[in-house]
Amino acid sequence: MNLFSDWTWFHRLGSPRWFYQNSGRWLPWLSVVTLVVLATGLVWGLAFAPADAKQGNSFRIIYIHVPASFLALAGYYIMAIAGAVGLIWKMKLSYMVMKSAAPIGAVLTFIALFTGAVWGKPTWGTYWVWDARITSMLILLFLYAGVMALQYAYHSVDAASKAGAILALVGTVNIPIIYKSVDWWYTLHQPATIKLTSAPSMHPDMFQPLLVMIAGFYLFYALVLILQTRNEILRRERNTSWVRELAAAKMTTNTIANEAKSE
Amino acid sequence: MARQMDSGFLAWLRRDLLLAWRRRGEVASPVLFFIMVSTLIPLGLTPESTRLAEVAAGMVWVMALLATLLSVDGLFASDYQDGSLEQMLITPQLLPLPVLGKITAHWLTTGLPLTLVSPLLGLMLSLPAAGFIPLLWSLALGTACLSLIGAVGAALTVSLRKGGLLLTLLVMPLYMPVIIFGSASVSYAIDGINWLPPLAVLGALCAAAVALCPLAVAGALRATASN
Amino acid sequence: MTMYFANFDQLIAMGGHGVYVWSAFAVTVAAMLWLAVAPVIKHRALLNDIQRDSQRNRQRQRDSQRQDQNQQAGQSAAVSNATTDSPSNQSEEDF
Repeated sequence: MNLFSDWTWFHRLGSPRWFYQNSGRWLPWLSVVTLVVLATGLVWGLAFAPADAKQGNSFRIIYIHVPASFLALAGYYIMAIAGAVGLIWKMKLSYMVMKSAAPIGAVLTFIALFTGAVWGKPTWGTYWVWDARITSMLILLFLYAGVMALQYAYHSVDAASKAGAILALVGTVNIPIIYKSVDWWYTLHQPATIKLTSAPSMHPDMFQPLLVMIAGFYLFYALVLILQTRNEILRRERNTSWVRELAAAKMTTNTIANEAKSE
Repeated sequence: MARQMDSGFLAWLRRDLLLAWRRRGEVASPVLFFIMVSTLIPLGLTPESTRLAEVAAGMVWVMALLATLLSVDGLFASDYQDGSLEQMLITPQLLPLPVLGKITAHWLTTGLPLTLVSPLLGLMLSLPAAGFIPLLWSLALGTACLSLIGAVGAALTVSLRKGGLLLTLLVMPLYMPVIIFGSASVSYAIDGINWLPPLAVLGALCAAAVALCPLAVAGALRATASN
Repeated sequence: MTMYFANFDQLIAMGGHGVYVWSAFAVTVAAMLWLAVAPVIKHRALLNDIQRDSQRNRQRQRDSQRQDQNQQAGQSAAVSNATTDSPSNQSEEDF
């Protein structure tokens, strides 16, 4: 109950300084765990999982394609929610999270599109089809590009943050509509020659590494988002005394280490 | 109270229509663009009327979209430059209503003329006869959607010096559902299928846009244009 | 648990699909490495930059203090003072 009556935890969470200092403590652990999970999933999926009966070994692309698609879409919602929190509670930190989430999501969307195209060649005989899911993914990439371009277009940090948040929210309202309409459009025009069957029910031996990869991608996303947000904090708070002291402390420890090395 | 809410909408609608009347040449350019680009299609594609007929519906829709996109850039630009946007932001009225008035004026001066001209383009591109009525209806509803969604992009980029290109980037993905259902209702009619369902979806999109877009525009203007 | 492939060559060949599988994984790994490494490099550069900035500001503060003292000592430093008070300096100093 105390959690809800007392809002100090919420404000502390919104403090860039608090976030920066605490995330610094978690980062080494998070990066080690991410690396281990991703490496496990990669080796398992590439070398140990059995090949698909119909698609052969090309199906192994699923181990990066599906997690990347998951995170590409989830990333947009994370970005939009961060923007909404910024607009409602005027929380500086959440605008920084929003700005950092955009390029990460765009790269993951690109990965999903690229791996999908490469996977399409051996399975359907072509790199690109105007399939509903592929088209929606492409539109998602455009939506990310819009938010990023808007962030870079404004000189004023405040205007850029608010404009980006509004655009992200408008996009969020639109994503289900876009997905449904593209789906409907595809069933209308579905070419007879190419038949995309939905993923066959996967054997547990194939499915387990996929779960590991999805977990790994989520961890990776969190890790990169924290790294980018920390940079954004330094960029926006560079004139505060705590950032200056931090920079000074970091530099002196570095120079001491260098001198020790040279001796 | 009701009168006050009215005045915001009607006053800005009347003002923008009057301004558009004074700048008739400028306002006519999207329509001219619409007609002139349509002459490029037979040149670039084929003069054969059977093959043109296949793509006519989609082409008219794509060009209507581009023409709207060209004009929506100026929706708030001159108001921003001469300071009347600032006036609008500090009035005690609910901001979405004057915004809706401006968007309505924009649709009356671009979307409606585009719709009225479209049968001419349909003739030039040898659109089958069954497609004309659905084309008119879907364009009338669809261009209203395009104006409403485009206004959000225009509000987000109004204070930027090179906002036009960015506006295109922001708004284009949001236009996808409109063009899908708009051109579908025309092609349904040509294929002899009941074309009312896609048109009804377009109407639903339009209703949702009327409710939500002015709010987003008001938020965007407050966030970007006031400083 | 045993490996699916009999030997390393088969793993590379992937039953004829090696080009697709390995290129997809290579591009993904490269993109993800870039996502993870670029902010780390940027972080170091930012800290360097901030440190250099604050050092410069401190230096400037010291300079202007010395100048004030010189002025109080009765030397006419009006010309040099006008040059240091240029607007570009002021815009950078916001503390």
